[in-house]
Amino acid sequence: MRKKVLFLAPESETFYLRCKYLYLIRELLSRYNVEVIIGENPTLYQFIEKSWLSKFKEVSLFKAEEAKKNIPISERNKYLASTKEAIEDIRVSPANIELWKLLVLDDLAGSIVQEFHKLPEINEKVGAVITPLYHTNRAQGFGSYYQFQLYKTCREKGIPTVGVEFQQLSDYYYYHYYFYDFYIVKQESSSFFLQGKLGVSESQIFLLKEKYTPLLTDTTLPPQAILKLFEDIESFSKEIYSGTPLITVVHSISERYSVRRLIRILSKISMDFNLIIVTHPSNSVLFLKEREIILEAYVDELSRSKFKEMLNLDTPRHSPEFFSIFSDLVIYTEPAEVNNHLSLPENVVYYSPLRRKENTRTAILNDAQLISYVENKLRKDKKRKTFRECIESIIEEA
Amino acid sequence: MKLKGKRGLFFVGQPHHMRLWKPVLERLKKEGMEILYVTTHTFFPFEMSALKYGISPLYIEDLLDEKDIEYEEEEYKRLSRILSERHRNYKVFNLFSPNSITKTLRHIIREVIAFEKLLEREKIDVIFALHELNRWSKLLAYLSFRKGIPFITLQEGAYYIKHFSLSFHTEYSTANLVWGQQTVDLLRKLGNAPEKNIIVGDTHLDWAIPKYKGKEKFYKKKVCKDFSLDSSKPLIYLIQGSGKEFLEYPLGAVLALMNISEDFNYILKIHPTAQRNYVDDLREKYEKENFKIVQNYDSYDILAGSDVCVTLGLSTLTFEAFAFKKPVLEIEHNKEDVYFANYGVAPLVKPQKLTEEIEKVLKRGISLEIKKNIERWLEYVFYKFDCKATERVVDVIKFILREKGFYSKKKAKPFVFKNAPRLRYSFNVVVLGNVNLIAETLNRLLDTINPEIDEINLVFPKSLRNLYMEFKENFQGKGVINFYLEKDGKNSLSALYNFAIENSKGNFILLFKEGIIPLRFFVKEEELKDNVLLGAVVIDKAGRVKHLGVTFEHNNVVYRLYEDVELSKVPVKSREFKALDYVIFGSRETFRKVGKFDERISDYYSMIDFTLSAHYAGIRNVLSDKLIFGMVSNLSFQPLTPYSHVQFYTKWRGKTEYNLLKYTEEDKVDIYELYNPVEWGLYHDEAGSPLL
Repeated sequence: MRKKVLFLAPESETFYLRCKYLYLIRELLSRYNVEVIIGENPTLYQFIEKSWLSKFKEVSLFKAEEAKKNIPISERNKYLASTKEAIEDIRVSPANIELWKLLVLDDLAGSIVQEFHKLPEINEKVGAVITPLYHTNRAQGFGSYYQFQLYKTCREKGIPTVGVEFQQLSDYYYYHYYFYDFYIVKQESSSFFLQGKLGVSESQIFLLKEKYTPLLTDTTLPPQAILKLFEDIESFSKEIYSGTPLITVVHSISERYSVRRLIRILSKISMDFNLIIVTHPSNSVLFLKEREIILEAYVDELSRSKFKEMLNLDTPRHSPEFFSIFSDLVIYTEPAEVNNHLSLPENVVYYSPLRRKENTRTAILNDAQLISYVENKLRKDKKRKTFRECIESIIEEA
Repeated sequence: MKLKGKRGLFFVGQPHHMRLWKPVLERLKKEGMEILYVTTHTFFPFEMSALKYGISPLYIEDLLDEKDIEYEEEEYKRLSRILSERHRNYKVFNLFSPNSITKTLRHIIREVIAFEKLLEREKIDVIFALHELNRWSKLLAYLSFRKGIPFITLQEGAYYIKHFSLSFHTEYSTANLVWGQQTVDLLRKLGNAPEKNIIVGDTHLDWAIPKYKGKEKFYKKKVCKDFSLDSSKPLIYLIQGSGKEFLEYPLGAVLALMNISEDFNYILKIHPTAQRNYVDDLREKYEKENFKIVQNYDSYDILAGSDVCVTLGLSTLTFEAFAFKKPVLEIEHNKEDVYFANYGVAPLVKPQKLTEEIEKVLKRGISLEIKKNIERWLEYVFYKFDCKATERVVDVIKFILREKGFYSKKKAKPFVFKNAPRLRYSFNVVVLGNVNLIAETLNRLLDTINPEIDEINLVFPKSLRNLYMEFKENFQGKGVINFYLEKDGKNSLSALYNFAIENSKGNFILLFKEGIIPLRFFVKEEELKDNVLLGAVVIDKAGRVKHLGVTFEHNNVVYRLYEDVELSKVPVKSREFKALDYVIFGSRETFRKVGKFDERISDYYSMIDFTLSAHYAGIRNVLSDKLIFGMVSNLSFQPLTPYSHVQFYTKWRGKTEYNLLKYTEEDKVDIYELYNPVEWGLYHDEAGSPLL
């Protein structure tokens, strides 16, 4: 009997990886039936249908339709009360306070799953369920909840659950990696991390051949998109090509603390440069757009800094290559946005004063490092010339 | 009370936290208090609430160093392992995605480390937060409790949902200052301590009402201009309840049913907790020339300028609409969710009939009956509109600081015994004025004592001089009974106990009030010699157990253990507590070690306060199974100060956690029940309770 493999299509990865993971699935088809689970997202569905369903007809698609919405307050209270009971002996050091008081009273109430989706048939024919090992900043929406609905059912029925490393694993937020029977990772460091930090046994971890790495790595923007973005930022061309070094900070709402600290530190650097901040037009917290948050929340810092402009660009933040084209230095505060690239331009770094442990190639972890890095960079860049300056020099020489 | 030199810490949360506390903080600053504004890095930009007022808050993350970050990592690793095990094995966790917990867990640990460091580094006299219902203020409240720093909270908004977290509103606070009796009643139903809730009124309305009074036309013009509306038409203010995620209010469905008239202007105010994308969707679907949807615009400008308010669900703003004296209509969408109409303060309207109802209200106003109901209801909800809520809050804060200052310096006064110990037991009964009760107590005592070696002392306050004379005359010649009149006019129970103790001639002293009688008395002298105070099990006239010891429940307030069954059904055993009540029995030496009863403490707490002092002086408080007393009637006393409960909890801050010191497996069940005073079934009730 051919076993069936269930594969939860991650929405965010579908976007970032442009469905490259399908080549992993294709490999399974000769031996297994594969059912891909997707959420009720019509755009995604159309995209998947158009781009690959026709090519892989053997793959069946399961649309996880919504089954129930909105748990009434009374029910939610019950869940919270039961959660309290389940964990009330766990205390947080050094204050020795009960964890439930901090977890249940506020945040968790908002984290109760509000949307339930239908599960595919999970019976003895199912050999394994594959879901992504999400990095926290991409663990949003349907998939991030649904994978645990799947996980629970599989656990009850003794079906193995497999987490696949798409993005590089976070060694900062890793609680959610505890929940799999097996792990498929693309790099050795991830395997060591799972064993060392989470206590996963070596036999539960499979290391993928290196040839798969490009399939599980973010794809940069196509050339047309880059051109379009250049048009969008045309109004800043004066700043960009003025010859004054340009530092671009790719903003992150969730890392506001680091951004604020970054702007404060940059304002202490005496060398000349311009500063721009990149935001995304659709990002918001409650009633505030990201752009509005910056203007109001960093009002003190910005007034004292060399801040020039804000670019409200409809471009993925994980495009360091793009930002590096027009900046002398690109600084991220969200490591996941730079970690999942095969190679990074030299002028891209990330700064994170609170995350001393994050596993990345380009980290600047404290304020002193940041100041010396930026000053060195700007000093070195002084020796470099703009394209126009090069031509001008050549012509003048001639 | 001078506030100069005092330092207050305010936790900056969401904008309304700042709005409600701002008038108080300004006032405190004016009177000399230094306020430290503190916030943390979290998803919602808390810092913006302070920046709006030109205040740069201190980020607790700034306090962390390399060592702290290493500690944080170790703790995250430890807790991740333990929690994930539970997460896998408890069904309830099906509803919580580990993806959503992974970040929160990290931040919680960081905040625990940083807040603790903050309170170690800064000298803080008092901490303010809007409430202790989110993780940040709960943590601060907990730490301040541990460190004995007063923690003062306000009411967050109108409370109408019986939400889980509301059950923990008074857990670590010294005082929670609320708008009106309605809140006290609701919080009490949800298991909160009425002792900690003090009614003061709404600090926001203190300035909002005078700001808008008489300027309705101005604000109508302003709002209409801002939204390009014709200001000659009536302005209808549609108020949405608190967020779709909380109330499941079918806003879209109701809007679709609503008949929108061209004769009016409408502004629909979306609750600030709703997501921006949700609001943008609504705008796209429903906005018209005379129908505007807003979220981030001053709610009170619109309220002041509106002619009629229509509530779609429950919101604090609707409650405030009544305070602004606006006519309010309540939209009916589901009979079970009716709220204001149940109180008789707003007519219930079907969405399809809205225009007709608005026309009626505009033409005739609201009925006299509704007006009367509103008047009574507003008093119940908001207490007073005298613009003195801020003043009352400041008064309570000063009171608490004064008490804290007082008790940090003062120690218990020593007893001055007037007689040498020449007898065995002194049975001291404080007389409160009920002749029948005194007689019952006396009769029983005469059967209990050994007249050769024991004495009975009846202690009368000065106010009962006549009764004292009468008793003295009637009982003359019965040598074992002594009558004492306290001549300084100190009426408090504590003062009378002190007076009784100082006049005792026994080696061992018993204290209780009239109306309490010994039923079983098998204590031997040697049991009283070793730094111990004994308490008694107390049963009522019907033989039911009314007192099995004193403990502190999850709000850290006094909780008297009892079992409302006959004594034979309760396995009574000796147990050690932090405090005792009703009856105490100890050696003269033990009383001497503790020092006098605190005469400033309210009568309710006099014995509890004394035995708590004894506990912290190294004396064991044991509820003895050899002492069973009866309670003929339970007399109550007047508190000595207006905030007497708060006074007690300020004095004992940090020392009133659960206190049954040596419990058995059986008791663990009691503890568990004690810790869960709220029956979760309550939440199935409809919101609110019948009032009028």
